[in-house]
Amino acid sequence: MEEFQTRQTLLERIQKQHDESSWEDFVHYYRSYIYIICRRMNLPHHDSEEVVQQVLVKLWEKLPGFSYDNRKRFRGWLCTVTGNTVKDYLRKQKTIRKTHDAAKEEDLPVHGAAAPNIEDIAEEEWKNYISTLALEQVKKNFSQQVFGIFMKLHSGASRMQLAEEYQLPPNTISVYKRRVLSALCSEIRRLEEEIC
Amino acid sequence: MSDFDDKTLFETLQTDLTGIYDMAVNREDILSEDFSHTLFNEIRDLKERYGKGSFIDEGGMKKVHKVEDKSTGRYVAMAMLKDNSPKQQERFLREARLTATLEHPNIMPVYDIGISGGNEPFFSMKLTSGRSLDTIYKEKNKDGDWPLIQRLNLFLAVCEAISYAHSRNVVHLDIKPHNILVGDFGEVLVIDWGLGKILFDEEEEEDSDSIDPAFFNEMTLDGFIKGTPGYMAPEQIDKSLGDRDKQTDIYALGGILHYLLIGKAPVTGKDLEEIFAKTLKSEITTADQSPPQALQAVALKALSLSKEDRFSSVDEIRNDIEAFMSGYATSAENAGFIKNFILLMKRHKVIAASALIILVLTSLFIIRLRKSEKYSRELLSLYEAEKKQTEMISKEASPHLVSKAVRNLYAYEYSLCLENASTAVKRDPENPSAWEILAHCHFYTQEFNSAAKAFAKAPKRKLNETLLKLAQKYGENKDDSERLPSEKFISLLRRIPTTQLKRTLYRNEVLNYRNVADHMKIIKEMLFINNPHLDTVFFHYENRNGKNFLDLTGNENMDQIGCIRLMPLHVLNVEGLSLPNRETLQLRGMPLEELNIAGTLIDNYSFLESIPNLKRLTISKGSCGPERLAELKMRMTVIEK
Repeated sequence: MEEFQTRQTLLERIQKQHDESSWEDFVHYYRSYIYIICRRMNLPHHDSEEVVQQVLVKLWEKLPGFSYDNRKRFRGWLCTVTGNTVKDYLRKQKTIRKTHDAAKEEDLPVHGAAAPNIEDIAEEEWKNYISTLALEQVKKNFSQQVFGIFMKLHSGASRMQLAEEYQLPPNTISVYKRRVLSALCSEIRRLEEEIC
Repeated sequence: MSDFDDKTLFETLQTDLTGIYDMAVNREDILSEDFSHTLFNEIRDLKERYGKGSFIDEGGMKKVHKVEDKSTGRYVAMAMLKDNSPKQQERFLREARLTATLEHPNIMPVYDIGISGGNEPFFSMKLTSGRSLDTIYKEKNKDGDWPLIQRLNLFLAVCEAISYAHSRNVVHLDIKPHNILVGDFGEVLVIDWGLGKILFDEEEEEDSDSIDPAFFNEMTLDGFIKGTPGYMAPEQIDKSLGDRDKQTDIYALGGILHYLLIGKAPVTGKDLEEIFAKTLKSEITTADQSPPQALQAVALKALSLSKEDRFSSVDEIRNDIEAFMSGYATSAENAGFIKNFILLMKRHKVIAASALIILVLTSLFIIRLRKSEKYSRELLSLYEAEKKQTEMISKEASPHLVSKAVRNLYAYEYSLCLENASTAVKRDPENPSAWEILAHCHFYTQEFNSAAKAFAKAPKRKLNETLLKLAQKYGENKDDSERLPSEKFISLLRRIPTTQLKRTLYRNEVLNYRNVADHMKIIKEMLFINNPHLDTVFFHYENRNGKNFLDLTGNENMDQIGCIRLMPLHVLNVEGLSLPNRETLQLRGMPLEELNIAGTLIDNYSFLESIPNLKRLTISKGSCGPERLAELKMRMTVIEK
């Protein structure tokens, strides 16, 4: 654990060294995250891709000067930057096209920097994002049935229901759940360490 | 992530995984968290104990659904009222409480009584696969070949339930085939104590109507006749004949016996009025074919119009039925004779009073011979009837023995199975089921030649034919007293169609193996059979200085090792297998000196009590409580991994 904490994080490496490989790692993981934030703001696919590019450019410029004390704070800031970029983007679109049926500016849940729970929202999206990545990865290591049972359990089906549906003893259902869950947790941890 | 573009990612984005994320990042222990804690949370957070139900059955007042009991994690049968008037609710809850006081294997157990969110009372009961006696009777006795012994055993179970209830001063008052559930394995449950009452209970108010209104509810709902009328005692129709009490149940038990004997309710009619009239006149239905007289006599005595003429207790009925089953005359049957004897004495007062007993008997004999040819003929036919019954009992016993033998085989009691199956065949050589079980028993004990002979007389089924062919093939050049060499045994195992049969064959082998090293080859095959989800089985056995070492590591997903049971292993390594606690059962009684169960799911160490020689134990770190661990360390070296 000691070694873990003293290790330089991905963000520190970018800030201090501004080197290409760290930046690539950063883009690899964060561009999808930014994309998700855009889509959550009701922006359509193509516009979101556009905004992601703009945000990345801003980050490239601003990151070295950004001071942060933890990753949670960083994601909150990232969300704010993304939100503002989306707002600017829509404003420009509006002046160009005069119409914007895809998304209405006033409906957008764009949060100002002062919004109290921006960090929480950013954090929740992050957790879902990392967990989904992990889930996709873990899926490959299990049979369809085992994984299917896990997902059904996760979405609220009871052990007894599934035992009946799949004609398996309830304990087997628990064992399946434990296996997938355990793999999922280690994959989430692996991803977290990699991004740190 | 390369195979996953942003758009697809967004569309498949899971929105409810934050809990798992937190768990992973905070490094909470998955084992305890998921297994005990999630269950803990699940039960603590239950808002509704019962899930949605699916309809099973309904009666006059109640409807019964199958629902999931989320608290205990099983399905239960839940009864609710159709009409939720306060009077009905009170009555309904009283029934539930009454039933709950009765704890007997033949009485439907009540699990829970409560008031639902919608302010409706309910009670939950055991969910059984059982079907009502009338359904079972129609199915089993379609061709009139439901063995009498089975019918009588079922009747005795009902008697036991009622006898128990009477001992608690509870009467049922609505015993009829519809209220008796019979399960697939012959288990019998008396249900629906809705009309039941506690005798001498002062709170119980008696309805002033001469007929219990609930009967009308039950039978005339929507103008249809529901349930099965014809089992109600005369005093339930006409109050002047007496109170409803234990004798009322005895009448209905007589009705059940009558039904089991001839397949008809004791009283039938086109409408209630006719049924009531016939009940009060004691017009009991008769059979097309006559059942054993002794049993008919028992039923008729119980169905007597006057309560005094019936049996005085349920146990008396039971004694009579049991007497019949063991081949003796019943008390009910004797009644006629004793009555006649008394009448005779009365008619011949003078002689009887002045003569010795021996003289009385002699004159009785002479008088009977002379006066009543008809009566002697009756006696003769009674004797013949009894003789027939004894023969019949012998035949009836065959199916009974067959079911015993089947149970023996399931319990791997091969010699008991052989004994019962052989007797079954002797009692009734025409019974194909008896031959079938005998054939199977010979087959699993590797007596293939005898098996082949018996299979020839067994019913023609695909399985029997398959096994017959195998018996012929493997019985060639092998005496029935010899056992197959391990290579041949394995090849036979592979040809057996189902896992259950493979296990039965294996269990006999493990009881008879001679050479451990040789038997280990069979064990490897069985591990495959028992863990069909595995592609490969890592297996390493070795005998060093007379000690048996078995190493099963590397079989991460193996969760069944039942086949190593009874093996004289000294060192066993199952590290990393997915073995649950139940598999420790297999290790009991082994001469183990070293055992490695690290990385398995085992966290209950009570099985170690039955492994007295253990010197070295390797377990997962944290899987054993500190107290237990200290105790273990006093007895052996414990390594935590």
